[in-house]
Amino acid sequence: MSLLVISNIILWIGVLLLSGLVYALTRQVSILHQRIAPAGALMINTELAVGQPAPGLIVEDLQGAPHELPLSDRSTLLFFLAPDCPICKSVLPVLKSVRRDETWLNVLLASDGGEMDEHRAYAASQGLENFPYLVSEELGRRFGVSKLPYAVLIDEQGNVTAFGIINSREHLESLFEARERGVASIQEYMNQAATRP
Amino acid sequence: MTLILTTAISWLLAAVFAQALWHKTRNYLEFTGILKQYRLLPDWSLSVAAPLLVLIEAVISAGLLFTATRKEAQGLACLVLLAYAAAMSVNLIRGRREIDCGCGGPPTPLNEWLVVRNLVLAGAGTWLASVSAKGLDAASTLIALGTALLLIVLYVTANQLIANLPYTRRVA
Repeated sequence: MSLLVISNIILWIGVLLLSGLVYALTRQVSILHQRIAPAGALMINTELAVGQPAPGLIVEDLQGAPHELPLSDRSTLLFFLAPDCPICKSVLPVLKSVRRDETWLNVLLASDGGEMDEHRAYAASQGLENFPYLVSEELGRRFGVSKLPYAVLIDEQGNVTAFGIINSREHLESLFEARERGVASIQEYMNQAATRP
Repeated sequence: MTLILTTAISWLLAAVFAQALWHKTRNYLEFTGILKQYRLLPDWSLSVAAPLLVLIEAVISAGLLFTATRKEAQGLACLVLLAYAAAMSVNLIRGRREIDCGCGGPPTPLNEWLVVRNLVLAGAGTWLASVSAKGLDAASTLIALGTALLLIVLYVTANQLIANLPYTRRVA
């Protein structure tokens, strides 16, 4: 084998290994970034403000029972969903486990308007009979919900603690985390981190 | 020389579409949501468009691997890449930067580099379609394989850097 061929083979192996190394490095940079920045629910809302009293109103659930918001016995998680929202469906198991494990919390489902039969069929097919399922267009409007799935956390005094778009367990937990840390949202947390020296 | 390069690039494109396909089918619900977020198609058409895109990507990916169907697959690949680039550009112009590009992996907000990436790939595809595809002998195949591997690693590295951009900007 000529020297040129040998050197070429070695170079090929070197280039491939190096390119793999560079890729691995960029992956590590990405992972580091994700570790620095905790996942959190994105907050987009023009109606609510953290620390302010939540809108008060009386809403009927699917069974026609009235619920007076905000509930005053425990903290409340209002989860906004819709039967035709695919991501909502994927978050439902998380909600079920939250409802079971977090005893300090009322979990309420909410949807704005639409056919009652559709909501009943949805609740039955997803096994949501144990949740109070509120249907009210006014509710969504008063809470400024523009994207689904959306959640609002209200404390026992009736003040808004945290809210945001919920696509995953991490997002939902970030609301609880926000409550414990006393920050409004992941954006506020990140901004605080950015202004810190 | 040209043949080795074109073969390698078509394998790269096959890998690109295979990866896209993998992400779309594995997180199918997420993919339909992302498609909706682009706000380009009416809601009723999404249940048709989503499986159709998956099918098209599968056809392209498979078609690129065989010399007999390579040319047609390359044409289709260019169209799809340009369509995606156009969809992203429209939303960038609308100012909807916060939506997930749907590139797979962790959510990546839209940015111009993704459009550039698609245009480069589409450009490569167009060039390929102008060169006739032929089989290679064993030694050339080996070189083409190495080149394709290198291109794929460079592609995923570039992608990763694009995905890191929003984080990097925030820290800097």
